[in-house]
Amino acid sequence: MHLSRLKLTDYRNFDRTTVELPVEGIAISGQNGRGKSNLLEAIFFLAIAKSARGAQDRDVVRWGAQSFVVEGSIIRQDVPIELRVAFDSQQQKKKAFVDGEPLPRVSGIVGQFNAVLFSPEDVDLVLRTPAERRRLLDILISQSNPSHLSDLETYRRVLAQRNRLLKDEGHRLRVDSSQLDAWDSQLAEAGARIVSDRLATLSFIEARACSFYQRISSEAQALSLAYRGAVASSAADARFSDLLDALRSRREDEIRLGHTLSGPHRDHLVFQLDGRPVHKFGSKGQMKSALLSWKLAEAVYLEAHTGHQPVLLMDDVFSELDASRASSVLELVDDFGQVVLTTARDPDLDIREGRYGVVDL
Amino acid sequence: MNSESPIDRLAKGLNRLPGVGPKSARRIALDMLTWDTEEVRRLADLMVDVKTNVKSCTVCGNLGLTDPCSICDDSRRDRTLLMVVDTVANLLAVERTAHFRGVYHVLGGRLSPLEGVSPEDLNLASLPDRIAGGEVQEVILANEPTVEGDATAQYLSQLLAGAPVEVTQIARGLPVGSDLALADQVTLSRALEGRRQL
Repeated sequence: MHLSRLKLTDYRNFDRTTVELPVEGIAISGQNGRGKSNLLEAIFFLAIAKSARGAQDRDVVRWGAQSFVVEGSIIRQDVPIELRVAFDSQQQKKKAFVDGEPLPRVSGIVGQFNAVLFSPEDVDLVLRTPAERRRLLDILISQSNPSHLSDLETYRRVLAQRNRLLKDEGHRLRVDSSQLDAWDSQLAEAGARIVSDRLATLSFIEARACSFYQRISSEAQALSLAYRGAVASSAADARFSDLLDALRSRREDEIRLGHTLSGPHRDHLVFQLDGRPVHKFGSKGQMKSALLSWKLAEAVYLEAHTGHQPVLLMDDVFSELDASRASSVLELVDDFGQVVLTTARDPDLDIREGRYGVVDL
Repeated sequence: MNSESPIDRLAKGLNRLPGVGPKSARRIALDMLTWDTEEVRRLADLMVDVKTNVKSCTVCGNLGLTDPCSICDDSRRDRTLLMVVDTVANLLAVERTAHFRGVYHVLGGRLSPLEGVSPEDLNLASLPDRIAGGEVQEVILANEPTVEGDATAQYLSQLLAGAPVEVTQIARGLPVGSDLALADQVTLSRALEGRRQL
């Protein structure tokens, strides 16, 4: 799969921009502030219909404009597909289109275009924030398995209802908790599916990420990914009932504190080097290499599960990497499909020698 | 003194209708000014008429001109079958199929703590008594297939756990005439779970 053309209208700092992208990829150079990262964010918008940086849609609209449009021409197994995501800040409405047909739900676009985005600002954010690490995993699964997304939506809705009940009706639940029971089975049902999907995906990712880490880094340390949660160690068919038991066993605490205490929304995904959490003990370079290894593993995962090679979006990938790590990364990336990478103006690395044409922004 | 113009006041009143925003309300109000006075009066009469003559059935919660409603009053209906629905609109949808010959129980909503709806806000209190009457053999839960509808169904099944009736739930699956390839995965897997022998 590749992106052949990207067209932006009033997206971040771009008023009207069209970029043609060769099938092997492209290197985008330019000084800071020209919008290199915004361009990659925009491409990723086609994959998940929202900002990879967690920005609100209205904040993505160019200053002074009212709406933005991201359009992409993709080629998937020789078939051209036109994707468009448009947001209007006055109506607060976002619409997604495939080949000009509006989709009933914007999230329906997820899975049409697969991409993997690596951005240096993610390194600290993702590795240090438990919720962001869960999001990293959930976005990946949703790209290859849309039912994961609807499980997450269901789970969030049930969780919000249940938390409100715990907060507002605590005194009553102490006497009669049958209202809580009414929500528990739905929460456990969606929750068990979410945990199962996460664990299956993680075991695939871990093996690949570990081998990428070894190739990027010259050290002998081993990267591992640990998942910790209420039912992470349960047998697959016992997760539903174990999650239900976990909820019931903490019911008194939940009523006292006014929110739900166990379930996939509280689970932990930890990046480890030789068994030690990388966000606590790792150096900057190690953290960056760890996340980069994960991202490359994501690309392998998406190809294996969708049958299409995703587009790699590598934002400022070489900063903070020493020369040998950087050239290992370049070599690794060569094995993938289309690559869009950005680089500041003074490339120590001679990427011009590589397969990528350079455009100046 | 009320400084609002009559048009503004009417628009505000219309704004209370479901699905009518402030802009549409104003458009409707202005449009009504072009109607014949007789036409407007007829509409107003109809609204008052509905309000004064339509009653909520004390047995099932359905709306009608009589209490008990025409369904509860109909001796040809099968009283061993009781279908629980969220709203009168859903009852009417089931009635249109002309397939169901039992009686109903209309809850008037769904459990939703976020919207402040708890069991007391639903027409639930009379349900155990109706069942204790002894005629009902099967309670069919036909709540909306949403998170809130499912929670309501779950709550009902707990409520009825001790009662000497069979509690069933309508099937979830593929809409007839739709394209299987276009169905979302959750619907498809529900349909698969609910498969039956031919």
